[in-house]
This record gives sequence, structure tokens and C-alpha cells, in this order.
Amino acid sequence: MRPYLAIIYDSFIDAARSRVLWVLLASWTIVLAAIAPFGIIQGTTLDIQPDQILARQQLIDELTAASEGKATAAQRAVWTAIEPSLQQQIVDRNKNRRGGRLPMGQLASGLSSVLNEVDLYTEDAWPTAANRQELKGLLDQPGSQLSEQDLQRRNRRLVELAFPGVIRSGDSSAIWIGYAGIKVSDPLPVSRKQIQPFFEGAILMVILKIGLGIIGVFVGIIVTSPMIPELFQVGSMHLLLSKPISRTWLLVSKFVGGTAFVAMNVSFLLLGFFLLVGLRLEIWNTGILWCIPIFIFVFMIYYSVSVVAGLIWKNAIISIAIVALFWAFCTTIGITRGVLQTIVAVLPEIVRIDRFGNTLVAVTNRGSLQMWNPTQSKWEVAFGDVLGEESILGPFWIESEKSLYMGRPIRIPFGGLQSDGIRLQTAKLPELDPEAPFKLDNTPLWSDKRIDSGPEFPPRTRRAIQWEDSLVALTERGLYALDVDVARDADAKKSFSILDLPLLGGKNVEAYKRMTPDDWLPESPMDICYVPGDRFFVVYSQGKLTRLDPTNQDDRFRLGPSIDLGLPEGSLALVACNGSVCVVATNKQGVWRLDCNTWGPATRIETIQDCIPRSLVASENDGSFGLLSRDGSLWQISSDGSQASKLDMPLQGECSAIMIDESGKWWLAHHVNQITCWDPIQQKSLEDIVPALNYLETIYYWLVQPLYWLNPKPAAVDTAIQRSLTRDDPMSLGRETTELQIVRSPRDDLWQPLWSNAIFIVCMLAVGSWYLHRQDL
Amino acid sequence: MSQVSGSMKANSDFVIEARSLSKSYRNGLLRRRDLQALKNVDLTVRRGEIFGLLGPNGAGKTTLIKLLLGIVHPTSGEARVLSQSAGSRQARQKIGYLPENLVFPRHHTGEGALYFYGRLSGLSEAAIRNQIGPLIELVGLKDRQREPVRKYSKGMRQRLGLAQAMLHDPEILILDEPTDGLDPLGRSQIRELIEQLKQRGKSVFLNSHILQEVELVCDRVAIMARGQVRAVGSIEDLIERYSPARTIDVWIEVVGDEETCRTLFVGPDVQSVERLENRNSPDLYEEFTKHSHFPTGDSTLDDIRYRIRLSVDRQESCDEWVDRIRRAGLSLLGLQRQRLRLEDIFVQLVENLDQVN
Repeated sequence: MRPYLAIIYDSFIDAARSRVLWVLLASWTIVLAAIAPFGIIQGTTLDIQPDQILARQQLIDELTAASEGKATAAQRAVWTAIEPSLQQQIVDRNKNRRGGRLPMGQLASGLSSVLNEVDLYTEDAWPTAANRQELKGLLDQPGSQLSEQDLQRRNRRLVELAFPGVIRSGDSSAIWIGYAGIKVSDPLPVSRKQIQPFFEGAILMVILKIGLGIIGVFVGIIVTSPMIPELFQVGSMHLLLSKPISRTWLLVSKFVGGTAFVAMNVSFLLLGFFLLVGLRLEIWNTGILWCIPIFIFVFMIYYSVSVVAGLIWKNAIISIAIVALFWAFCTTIGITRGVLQTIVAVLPEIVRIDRFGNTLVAVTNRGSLQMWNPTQSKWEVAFGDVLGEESILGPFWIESEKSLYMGRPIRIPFGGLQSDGIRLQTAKLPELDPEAPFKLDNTPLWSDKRIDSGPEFPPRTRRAIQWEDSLVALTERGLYALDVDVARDADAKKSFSILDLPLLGGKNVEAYKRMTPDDWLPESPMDICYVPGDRFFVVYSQGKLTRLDPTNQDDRFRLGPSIDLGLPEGSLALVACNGSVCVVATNKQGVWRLDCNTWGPATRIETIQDCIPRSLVASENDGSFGLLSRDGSLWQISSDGSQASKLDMPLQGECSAIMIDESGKWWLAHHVNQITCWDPIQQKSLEDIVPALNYLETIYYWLVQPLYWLNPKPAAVDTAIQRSLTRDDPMSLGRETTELQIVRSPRDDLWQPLWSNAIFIVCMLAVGSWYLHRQDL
Repeated sequence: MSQVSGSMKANSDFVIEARSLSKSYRNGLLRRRDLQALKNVDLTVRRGEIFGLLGPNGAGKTTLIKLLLGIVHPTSGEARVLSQSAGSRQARQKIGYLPENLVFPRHHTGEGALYFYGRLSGLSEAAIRNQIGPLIELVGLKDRQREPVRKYSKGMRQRLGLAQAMLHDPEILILDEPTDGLDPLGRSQIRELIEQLKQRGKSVFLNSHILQEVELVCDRVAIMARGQVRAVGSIEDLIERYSPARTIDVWIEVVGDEETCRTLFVGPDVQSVERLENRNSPDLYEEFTKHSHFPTGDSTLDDIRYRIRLSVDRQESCDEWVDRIRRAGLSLLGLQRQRLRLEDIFVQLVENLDQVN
């Protein structure tokens, strides 16, 4: 072993003499030193943040009313103190509806200017303020005698009181970007916890994937590529081979030596980065350390190619060129496969199934609504793709209208920078006969002939579900029900008008009526289900499970019992209820059951472990529950919630959507766009819906996929980097999503690329060894 | 030529044995053709002897060495080193090799290189440490061992190469042009070193272009040409074998007057007479043979130097010539018995082969 350790050590020292390497290490150290003073400064701010404005339109309306002297005294007082430029904008906007956009940020900063107003408070304007616990002691003395902090705190509470339910009571914490302890940014409307996934998901990924994954690997290749050609210098190689060592192990030792050298450097860089990010940003992401073996592995893939090229051509430049070609080839195959996979296997994947009469309806990842055409054995697009990562809400079958309704996202022209740049609009597919096997108007997509647009969903709608013969929207301001009559009136107006443009606020916000008390403001993440027989809703909101019980008025519900499940903050959950038992599937703390009558205690269903839920449904037939996890596995939970078992069926692990029909049959979407009807009692498949492959799918499955499978795919290791850096929590800053039904990343096996790449490395070394053995040097 | 008879059985008297060893290289990418580097080479090297391998460029010497080291594989035939198959790890364990045009990795110091090659030979750190000091001194690199090898002259690299070859105390040393790049003093030191190795019972396989060097140190030599061993044996054997006739060539240098010399140096024994004009200008001469005129010049001088080549059939004839010179009153400056040199045999063998081909 001693000779080979000597070669490894010697290769290491050889590579360490590279000037390229030291220049890069020095540059990297300078960069680290330059960014080291950057950090996050946490503090408190009383400024109103854009995300604390719950109802923008309502706020503008109320401010407009205040400008005309119509609003409450408190609102008028706030209006008076508001900064003149914002006042002017609101007045202009009122006079001329095209008076310009009012971004949330501007609205928030304009309102924040009120916080320093010393004479804001008058007892007449806020008659009940003195009773507020948090304002005790702050109203007794004039504003001029309060400290700046106290003044701001008092005014902040007054503004919240002036606009109840519109401005959320903030926790006043904020973060700033700092450099050497000096704040260099405005307060960021996010918490430190929120910035972490953003940092891990975006910045770290870019730095590590591009910085190390591409540049780092190639620097490693440039530094180590001369090793093998130098080995073949006549006087050097003959002397080496005259020693009692094996050629195979000589090659392997050289390979290990080069790899060890790169490993040391990568470890140095990443350890430094880990400490820097941890010490400066308090983000102790051990995934950065996991990246060390991953990068070494990626390097080994390319280095094995470099070694074989060096053996054959005995030239470092040619080795580097061959590695670059190999990289380009793998990247091309990877990108082609990735693009096609997205087009063919990810976006068309069915995420929701529904059945209206004989018509099978499915919603795909890309947000399109499809109907099954049994005669042509294909899915017909009823409503086309939705831009971005939004999805449609629904569909909902409204019997009285004989129409299929949905919530479709509409993008406001030039509104991309606004936080509410995407709105949900109620839309319906008319003239659908659910009893006919299939019927779809063949007019082109996006044609107004096919889609009738209706009123806009209430702001901050998080969920929409079928409710009696209508639908309800769960928002951060409560529960809203669609008034179908108003919607119909809106539909009746067929003529296309400029006023219908979503830019101007869409149609009839009044089409939705609030069903819950004004002071009930559920927080995201949230979910809802409705029990038709008992006519109550179950709402999950930020770890709390609340029952909304019916009142005398059909469309009003009161708050019923509530229970805190004690889940970690930000836990996502899905709820389903069969009238007697409520099941909550969470992403962090497993699955829970709750008795609907006693509303407690919530007990955990221990048999279900490691399940991140994707879909949870209750059977109207026998009251059992169906749970689909993100990894595609299916669980059946008994109607009393006491037992749960994994369904014994061939599609286990392959499903992407579940629906249980009125007869208790399970409709399961799987393998992108196939659907199987499964009888859980007879344990057999009743019907299989398999659409024919189109030409793109044929190319993907029969050409690209096999080629990709044979390819070593070093780029696929990126998935491992991504997984090690980002947590499995889909909460992220960029997408304010509380969805568990998010678009799934392609379900590639994490270990498959590792295995295939490892085999590739071994094969390359075997080829190199064979070549070296048979060669007369 | 020592023949290896019968099947290759291990013979402890021989450190190297080659039998019918042939090697062909394939050249050309599209139109492949074979280039025969070695043809049926039979060779043995005895334990404890210094064996010289001679031959012109392209004779196959380096190929033979590579075959013995296992760097290339034979096309046919077999070779054994120290009773082990040539190229086997056990055989290489006992060989110290100094390649031609030795290149050390640039990142090594002299000492670092010795540590590296010592480890490759399987030596422990302690063993290397103990060996390095005396070896460095022996090869004349003392005080320079910590310098990077890239700053070494060719001669220094050659000395370092010798040190690494001896580091693991091998039983046999294969030295390919060991004095290449060395100054005369260095060459002399290397020769002394080879003699010392022989005294310690080591076998040395020496490949060199410098025939005089081979003549000085080698017990036996092999002369190769066009991939074949043309002759092998001790230098005396070769001279004996390749001397053209049973005559004795003698060079005589005398001083005297022209007339006496003209009278004396006639007859069938006299092969040639050179007139070296005078003592002060020995390079001026005129050659004379029995087929031409006696070399003449200024006949008034009485101290003209002449060099005469005589060819006699026995020692007594030689003695008679000395007596005749003394009787004629000529001053005898020198007498040298001319013998066949290795170079003559080398040229003879190589040229003969060229003429045959």
C-alpha cells in the first residue's frame, strides 16, 4: 500500500503547485473577505409593511371616502396626517379611474408617514381607544411629550383601529441588510426565518451550482489534467513502471491523488462559506457541508474522463477539451431531457380529478382544465395553460347553472411588479351536459365564446371549495360565498367592455359575500373542508382547527369550537371531515384525527409516518379517508380515524391525484395523465384510462429517456445539491405559497444518478487501466 | 554468444536470461505495418558481472531493457530476471533502473525525489532516511539535495537517478547511458561506482554508446544491430574471435637521418612509414607505403622522426627489428604492439550486417 499512498501524496503535491489554483484560491479568499461584513440586522419597526395591508382596494376606497369627508372620524384624521403625495395620488385616482397604479409599497410607506404625527390622536376620533390595553399610558399625555418609539407605537395602533380588518396588527419586527453593522437597506418586510429559505434556495444555489458546480469543477480539471500526460514523459514513465507497482493501481492512485487535492480545496472553500454564512447570517445550513462530497463526486465524473483522455492523447489541453465536450454533451442531453420532461411529464401531470355525471375532468400541473374524450382516447383541453406557478381553483359544478366554474388566475397587464399582479377571476364553461359522455365546444382556446369571465375572487383567496350549489372562497379575511345570481348577471352582460379589464378592478367584487364574523381573520397556511350533511366547515389555520357552525341565516356561519394542534409555526396541513371524524394531515407532524362532536382531543395516527400530504379526501359513501402523499403513496384511513394502512395496489407510489366518488370507488391519477378507477373492497382495477402518446411524448419516452438513462448525467447530481441546501418546506419568500399541492419536482430517484455516475467512473477507470496495460510505453 | 538451451529453467548463476525474445511494434493508423525491434534475442547475464550492451541507434537496446523491466510486452520468446518472469513485481523489486533521458517531476527536491522513489520501491521511511545520506554523498550531490530538481543540471539529474537506482539496494542495476551529460571527472566517478557495485556482488547491465567506457568496466559485452545480438562475450574473446589474421602489428617510432631509414625500413614486414617532419612539428608527415615512395623532405636534417607500422608473424621477428634499429644507430622513441579494439569489432559487425542487408 505504501507505494500507492506515495503516488497519491505526490499527485496531491504536484497539483498543489499549480499557479492557477493559488490565484483562484486567493481570489476566493478576497471575495469571502469582501462579503464577510454583510449581515442581517434584526430589529423592530413600527412601519406598516406591504404584507400587513390585508385589503388594498378597501383601504383605497376608505381613504378616498375620507378625502371626501365621508369616512369615520378616525379615518379622516389619518387622511389628514397622510403624506401629501399619497393624498394627491388617491384624489387623482378617484377623479380619473386611470389615475395611475398605487403599489402596495407606496401605500404602506404613505401610511407609515402618519406614525410620526404628534397630533394624530383625538378622543372624538378614537372614542374607544382609551379602553385598549396596549394604548394605556400612551394616550394620557400629548404626543409631543412621548418618546419617538412610544409615539410611533401609539399611532400605529390608532391606524389599525381606524381601518379594522384592513391593516394587520404587526409584530413590529423587521430585518435590514447590514454591512459591517451599518444598515444599508430599508427594513425588509420579511422575517429572518423567511429570508433563510430564500437565501438557501436562490443565492446559495446560484453560488454553489455555478461557482463550484461549473467553475470550480473546471478549475479542478485544468489543475489536475496535466497529471496523466506528465506521467507519460519518457524518462518519468519508464522509471515509474520499473518500480514494483501495478499499472492499474498506479492509475487509480493518480486519480485518487487528484481527487484528494480537489477535495481539500472544496472542503476549504465550503467550510469557509459555511462558517461565513453561519456567523454572519446565522444560517447554519449543514447542507453546505453535504455539498462537499457531492462536488467531489461531480469532479470525479469529469476527472475520470480527463484521465482517460490524458492516457490516450497524452496532452493536457486535449484532455480539457474532451472534458468540455463531455460536459457539453451531458448538459445538452440533460437540458433536452429536462425541458421535455417538464413539457411531457411534469406540467401535464394530473393534480386533481373530478367527475361530473359521465364526464371526467382533470386539472394538470400547468393549470389547464381537461376533459376526457373517450371516443378519441385523449384529453381535450377545456381551459388552457395558466401562466406562472399559479393553478386554477376548482373546478366546481353548479347544478342550477349546469355550468362548470373555476377560479382562473389572470395577469394584470404591466402589473408584474405588483404584489397582487395576479388575480383570480371566476370563470365558467357554459353549455356542458354532464350526462353526455363528452361534450366540448371546439372553439379555439382563450376564446371568450368558450370561457365566460365572471367576478373576481375576493383578495387573498387561499382556497375555494364547492359549497351546496355554489362555491366558497377561504381568504385571510374570512370565508366568502359566491352569489350565483350576481355572477349570472355579470355573465349576462356579454358585450366586451373596457371596464371589464382586470386593470380596473374586474367585475363585481360584491358577488362574494362574507360568511364569517368580521373579526375572524384566519392566517396562512390554511385549508378548509365542508361537510354537506351537517352543514359545517372545518378550517385549518396556522396550527388551529376551527369549526364554522351554521347560523339561522343560510349564508352566515359562526365560529364553533377551536383547537390548537400545537404544530410548529408555518405547518402546512390538509383537512377532511366525514361528519363525525376530522382528519388533519400535516407536513411536519404527521396525521391527526379529531372527534367532531367533542372537538378534542386531537390524537395522532401513529401508523402513518414520514408522509407529506398531497391530497386528503373523505368518502361520502363509507366515511373512510383517502390520503395521497407527495411521494405518490396512498393510505386508507378508516371512517373513525383509528386505523390507517397503505393501500395494497400496483399503483402505490405512482399516484398524483385522488378522488373518491359517491359509490366509494377511488379514482387515481398516475403516470402523468393516466387514470385508474380502483375498487378498494374488491382490490381490483375497474377501469383504466390511458391516453395515446403524442409525437412529443413518443420522442421523450422512446428516444430521450433511454439516451439519458445511458448517459452518466453528472448534472443530475445538482438535485442532490438542491435537496441538501433547501429544506423540504415549500414555504419560500419568492412564492407566498401555502400549498401542499404544489407542482412536484420530477420524481427522479436521488440515488439513481449517484449509482449511474459511480458506475461510469469505475468504467472509465477500467478502460484507462486496460489501455495502460496493453500499451507498450 | 551464450546460448540458453532447452526450456527456460531458473538458473541461479544468471541474473538475466532471454530466449528467442522478439518484439514487433505496430505503426500506422490506417495502413498498419510491423516494425521488428528485436529478433530472437538469446542472452544471459551472470551474477556479479558487469555486462555491457552495445549497438548503434535503433539496434533494439532500449527495447531489450524495456522488455526486461516489463515496460513493453514481448511478441514472442521469454525473458527472466533473477529467476522471475521479466516484468513481474518480484523481479522489479530487485532491479535498480536508471533510464536514459531521466525526467524527474518538477515539484520534487532531490531528497523528495529519493523519498518518493524509495516509497515506490516499498522501503520504509526509516530505511529511506538511513540510505539517503550516504547515497547523496556517494553520487556527489551533498549540500544540493534540498534544491528543486528543476534547477539541477543534466549531470546532477543523472547522479540523482543513479542514487534512486541504488536506493533499495537492488541485486541488479540496469543503467541506460549512465554517464550521459557527465563531465570527465563525473564519468570517472561513475566508473568507480560501478566497480564498487561489482565488488559488493551486484550485477550491472550497462547500456552505453561510449565504447571506451564499456571496454574499461565491462566483463562481458553484447553487440546488437538491427534487433539482433551480433556478438556476446568478454572483450578478449571478441578480439580473439574477430582478429582478421594471426599476425602481430607493431608501431615503432624512431629518430634518425633519411638515408639510414630509407635503407632500413624495406621488406615485406613494413606496412607503412610516416615522416613526422621534426620534433617541433610532429603533425607534419608524409605517408609512405611499399607501393609508393619513401617519404622525403629536407634530407640535410639528421633528426627526422618516423613512425613505422610493421606486421610480423611472431615475437622473435619483432625483437630482430629492435636489434636492427639499434645497430643502424637510430634512436628508438617508442614501440607499441597494435591490438584489435572493441570499436573495430563493433564497426566490423555493424557494417557487415549493413552490407549483408
